[in-house]
Amino acid sequence: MSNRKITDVQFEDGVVISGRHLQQALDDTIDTFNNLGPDIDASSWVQLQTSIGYTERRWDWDQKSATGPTEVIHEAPFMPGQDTTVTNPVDAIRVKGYTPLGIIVQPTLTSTDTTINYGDNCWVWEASIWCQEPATINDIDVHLHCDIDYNPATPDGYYSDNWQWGGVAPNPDIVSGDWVEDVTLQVVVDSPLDPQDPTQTSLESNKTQFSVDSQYCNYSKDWSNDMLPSPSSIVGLPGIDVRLWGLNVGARNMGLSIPARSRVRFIIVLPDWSNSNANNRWTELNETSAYFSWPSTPWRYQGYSMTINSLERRLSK
Amino acid sequence: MPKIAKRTLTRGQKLSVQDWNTPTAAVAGAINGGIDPQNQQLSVAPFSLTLNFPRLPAYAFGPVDGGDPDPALVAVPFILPPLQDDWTDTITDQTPLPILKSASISLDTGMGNNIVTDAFDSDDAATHPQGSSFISDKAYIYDLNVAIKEKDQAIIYGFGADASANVPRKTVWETSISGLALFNDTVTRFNPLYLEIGNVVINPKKTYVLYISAPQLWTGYQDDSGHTIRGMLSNLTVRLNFESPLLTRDGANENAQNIPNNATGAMSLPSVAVDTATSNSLITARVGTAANGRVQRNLEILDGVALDAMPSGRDINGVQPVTESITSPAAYTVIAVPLFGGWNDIRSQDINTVGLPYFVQRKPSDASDQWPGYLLDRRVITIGQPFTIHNVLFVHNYYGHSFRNATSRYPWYQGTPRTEWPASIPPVPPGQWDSAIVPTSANFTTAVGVGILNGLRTDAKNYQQVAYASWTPDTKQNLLIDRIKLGGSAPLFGAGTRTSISPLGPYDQEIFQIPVVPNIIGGGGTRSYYDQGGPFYVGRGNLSTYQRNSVGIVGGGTRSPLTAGGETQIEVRCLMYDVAGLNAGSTSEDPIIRNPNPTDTCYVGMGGCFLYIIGKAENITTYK
Repeated sequence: MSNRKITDVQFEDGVVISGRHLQQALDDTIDTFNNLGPDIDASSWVQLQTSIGYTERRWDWDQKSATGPTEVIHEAPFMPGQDTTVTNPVDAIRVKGYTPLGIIVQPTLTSTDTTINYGDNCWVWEASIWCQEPATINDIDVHLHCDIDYNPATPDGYYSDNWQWGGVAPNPDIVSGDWVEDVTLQVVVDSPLDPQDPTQTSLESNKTQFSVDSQYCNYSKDWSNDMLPSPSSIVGLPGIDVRLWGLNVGARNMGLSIPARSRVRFIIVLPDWSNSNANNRWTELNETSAYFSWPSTPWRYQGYSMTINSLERRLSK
Repeated sequence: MPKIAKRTLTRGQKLSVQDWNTPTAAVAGAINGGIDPQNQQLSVAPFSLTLNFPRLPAYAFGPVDGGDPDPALVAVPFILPPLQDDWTDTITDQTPLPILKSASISLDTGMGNNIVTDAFDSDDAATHPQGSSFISDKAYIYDLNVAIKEKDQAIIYGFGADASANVPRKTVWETSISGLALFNDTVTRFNPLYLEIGNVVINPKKTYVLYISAPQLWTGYQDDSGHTIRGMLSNLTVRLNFESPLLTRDGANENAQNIPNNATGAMSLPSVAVDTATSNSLITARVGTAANGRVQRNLEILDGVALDAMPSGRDINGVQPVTESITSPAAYTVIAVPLFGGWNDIRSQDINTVGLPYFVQRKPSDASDQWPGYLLDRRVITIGQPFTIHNVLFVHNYYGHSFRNATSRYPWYQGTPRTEWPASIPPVPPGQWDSAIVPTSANFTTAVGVGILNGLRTDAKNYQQVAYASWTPDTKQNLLIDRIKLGGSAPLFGAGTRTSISPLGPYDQEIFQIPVVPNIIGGGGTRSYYDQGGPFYVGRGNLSTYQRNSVGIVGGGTRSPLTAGGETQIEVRCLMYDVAGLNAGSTSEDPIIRNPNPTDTCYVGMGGCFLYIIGKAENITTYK
């Protein structure tokens, strides 16, 4: 055995111990424990948690209309993944390597679905942070909430999309979970050498092909049996019984190392799909409709919570 | 622990055993007795306050009615109070002080140099639909003014009836950011921006307010057809970066709830033994006995401590090191949780139209005039490393200004503005007709809760309450910490709320404490502003850490945690309701002034509400 970490000085039996070497060994040792460095004080990282999100507004601010949108709508913070209105080629493809696989592989169209218009776009919600110090991104977790009702036939919940079919009933040519398969999460880091050029970004993580059966979740058995506040706990309200259901997609324990002075972007992509079948478009407010489709602007259908858990190293004072 | 003293050996000096014994024993003593932050190179820890605004329209930064000199703005107050174990009525020299070091600001501008247009309040929405982006030669539209101001807290200095008492006066940092700083020419982008602030010492007993304004969003530009096209901010994210002194770990002394009962925070110090040479003994390298000093052996023992990397803190499952020497393995941490941030300010007259999830609304088939629905938002936060929750604060924002020009009242909603307040109705002064009103209905209730849950995506889901409070205008004083009026100019101090008819005083925002369970409300707190339970441990468990200490119950009492040491998520909920109806409805009463909630009663102000989960995070390694 020998000294390996603190000092280079090694003493051996039978060899005279010189004062100079003793001094050096002691100085090295005392200096080490007087000023513990990160190589010895190894538990030197702390977690930073970021919570972002919002509750999406319905598309139709006059909810009495059941015939579809006649107005221009807010889209932000979701924005088109491909924006054909711009001439800058950089903007044409906002998400690297995004290929919708779920919806696009449904080839059979009924007679009413002759002009399917799938996969030509997607919707992107991007949040970004600056990492001045080296960081480790561990978790990115996204919840898409809705308040699906106990009884879809008489919905009390305003959001009745249960993701399985993109609605409460199968749409023509749709396989269960097609929508969810194409939801994608990405972590992107700008190039350290050319950070201002969006074509030079590094795709650090790309997670897609989620299964609706495994990601679908009911946050509680019922409102009155989870936590406060809950609508069921309100005395005086009518019999509102809405479940907190949702979809949870994410990537955990990733351990992505982020260099200092980096721009890190967290991206969720929702697939776009619409076709000519009127039932697959803006009919969700028509209470007689059987279809509550995942339409061409799917971001309108839920609230969002994104958590980013990262580690950063402690600092010198 | 003081620094270990060196001994200087001079040439020609005869070595004594003390030359050897004293320093090595001192090093071993330091390891066995605990190493303090002054002996650590990395002696402060970073933490961040990340404030996310999903969507801010041009209207948020537009002019205001009545000639008030303060333009509309978005502001978020925050407090970084002492943690429970450091809580004192006044700040002392022992109170850990966070230091604000830097900030970063980001917008979503697409992949390049785009500006998101705001067609709701632009003149030609058909040509420029909202959310569309275009190559910009008008970067000035994204000019930003950012400031942080400080104010005395009303809970300490008193709740004054005068608006000026609620106005933050002291600017601790401000900057102006040119839109060009976010993106430049046709291919580059510089977003997020990093801003060095320096060293702003944060007073834990003061309120700070982040001000944001983007005055050129409203100015916009004229397109070729002469229409005014305005911009909007998409996913504005402001991250304030702080430094925290290192802190001791929570444990039995703090009555930590839900903490693993075989890892309760108590340190188990190591026992490192080194040889001590006796006088007249032959000093050896390794052979002999302890009396020989055994120089090499001693050094190897200390070297072994270093090789083991001196673990401290907890791993991801909450397991403490078997032995540890680092006395302060924790640091301050904050999670800022945005609520209701996806829309403009939300007023009584919007209730039947704005359409938010969880908001059970009046439908075409409902005959009820005043639909007694509720307004709810929630965030789910994934648990990573374990930490303890010491304080939960909630910012209720009511800020909502008004503006009308010759064309319309804004927000314009593409030609369908809100109902106007008739000028004939006193006592509202001109210029304040359509500003927001702070809710005053006796039945208007705000309820805020934090819980932890396990079993997500399984059939065995359980929640455990961490913090909870509800209040009405009559009971809010039991939880209130501070009030903020955002404008800077007398007499109105901004047009964010119609203060002249508010009996509760002039303010745009309020900060409440949401007590940690058992949340027996009332009285002066010894752990925080008001009474509350001890720090609440939150973290995943394994076979050695799933057994937890008992937790408090809402209203008093204790129980075993329902989550049984398996929590994986935190949930935050905010619920607002009025059994008499949140919406303005349509009755035979005066269509504008209607009890209990007049038309412009503002439940959520521009920019949304925020909840802060404030606690203590433990140090970890990256590989555990």
